[in-house]
Amino acid sequence: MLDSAYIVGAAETPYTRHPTPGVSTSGLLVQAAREAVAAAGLRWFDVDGLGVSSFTLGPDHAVDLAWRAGLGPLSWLMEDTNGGASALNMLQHAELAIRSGQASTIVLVSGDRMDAAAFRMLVEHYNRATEEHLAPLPLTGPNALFALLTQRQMTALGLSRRDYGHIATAQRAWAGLNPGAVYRAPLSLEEYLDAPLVAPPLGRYDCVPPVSGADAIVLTAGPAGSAGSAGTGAGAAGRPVRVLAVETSIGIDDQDADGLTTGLVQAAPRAWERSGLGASDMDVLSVYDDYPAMALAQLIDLGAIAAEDAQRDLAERIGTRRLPVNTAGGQLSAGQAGAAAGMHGVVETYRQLAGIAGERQVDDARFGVVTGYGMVLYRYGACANVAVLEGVR
Amino acid sequence: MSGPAFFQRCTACSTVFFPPRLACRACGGAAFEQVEAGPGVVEEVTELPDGLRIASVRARGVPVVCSTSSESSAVEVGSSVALVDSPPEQGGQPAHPVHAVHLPGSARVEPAAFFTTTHIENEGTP
Repeated sequence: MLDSAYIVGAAETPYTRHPTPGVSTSGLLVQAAREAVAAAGLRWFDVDGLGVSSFTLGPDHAVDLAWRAGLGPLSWLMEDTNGGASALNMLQHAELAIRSGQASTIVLVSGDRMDAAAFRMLVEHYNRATEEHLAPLPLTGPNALFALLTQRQMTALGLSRRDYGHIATAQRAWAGLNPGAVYRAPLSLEEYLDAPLVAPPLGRYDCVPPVSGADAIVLTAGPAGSAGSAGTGAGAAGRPVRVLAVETSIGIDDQDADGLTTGLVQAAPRAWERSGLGASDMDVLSVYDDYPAMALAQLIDLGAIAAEDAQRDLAERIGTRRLPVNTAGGQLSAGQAGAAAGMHGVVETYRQLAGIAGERQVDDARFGVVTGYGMVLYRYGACANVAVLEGVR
Repeated sequence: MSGPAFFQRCTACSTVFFPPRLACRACGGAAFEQVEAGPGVVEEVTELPDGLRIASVRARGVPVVCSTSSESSAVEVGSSVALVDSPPEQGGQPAHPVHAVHLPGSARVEPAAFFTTTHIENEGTP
């Protein structure tokens, strides 16, 4: 068993609010995967493992995608259906596959062509509980569910809408440094507060824009291949990034609690123990921001923010961007490309630790943490996972 | 046709569930019976751009996501409500939309301050 697996390349297709005519989900997935392999300095034929997550790939599955993309023979294949937790769920499996020698070069890719019809299909038929007990209310989409959850968090932590505004405005400022983000214009706290309410207390800027796009990463057994063959220019690979820990917790409660505590309260301590690090060691953080309340809940569960200091830290650490959280703009400003939403944070954290994050590069970023969260069973997400990564010097 | 909403109760340990499950998380049993939801209390409520009000109501300790019936503008945080199951009039997909109906004369607390803003017009995206 090898000690570590390494992320040696990543790519994100352009995100678009409306799908480019002629673009398909499988086309987006293959585009991201091929660009990630190229960025790693590897050849497409080096790939012997593939992991895929997509809401709209059907009727195809991972094996169809592999065949149509000209891949094979593969010694490792997986398809993950866990939405916002799918990227790290795949990484948890892929890391072990690399370390155990089941595969030598694994591409993990997530994405969706998300037009209005696909989005409506997704939110109305998300699962059986949604079909039978939420869609008929009629409730389409999770805004109301997370409005109720945000109310609970406001009461529990003594927060106001203004406090959450620091998350949205800071991420918009980061997005201004990310050419790939769909919303880049600066957002003031006043604009955030004055925006139309969508489901009180949630306003327009508390909700993510659905986009079409895909994200991919490449894992290998050693850092040498990529670093040695790194090219030049925008696609060049930077430093290899070592996977220090990936941990998951699913179904921490029975959907009967307040939803303010995620599975990270179980997964994060295991990840910190395995990596020998803690939240305060992290130079960059990426948390799954389907709503600001969930970004905050995960930062608390990671130990990056103390619940009793939430109001102060939102203003003084998040709002000021002293704590680098979701440095590509997150889903709130970069966009939510369906199942790629979890991979977006992995790609960004890789780029920061590889030293290739462009204008938004965090100085001397060595350690980073990424979370995944999702799969609303009935009232809130049931899946949470976390990865701790290190840029190899 | 609408009537009282029903929960699912484990016959072995009496744990109550909604939506229905296939096995009991508390004791592992797989035999259930139906029980009336009974009255509940509104814990949170929000309103969508189309005017639909969505509430979280706790009854028998179980949180239920429901809409408030059109004649029940009085349903606010703290309201005591009845949970009503209103299946669609026609066949098709199984559907159990649960509505919260205000119980006249029940206690009510003031809604939270953040719910007083009124300009709701944007179609949001999750």
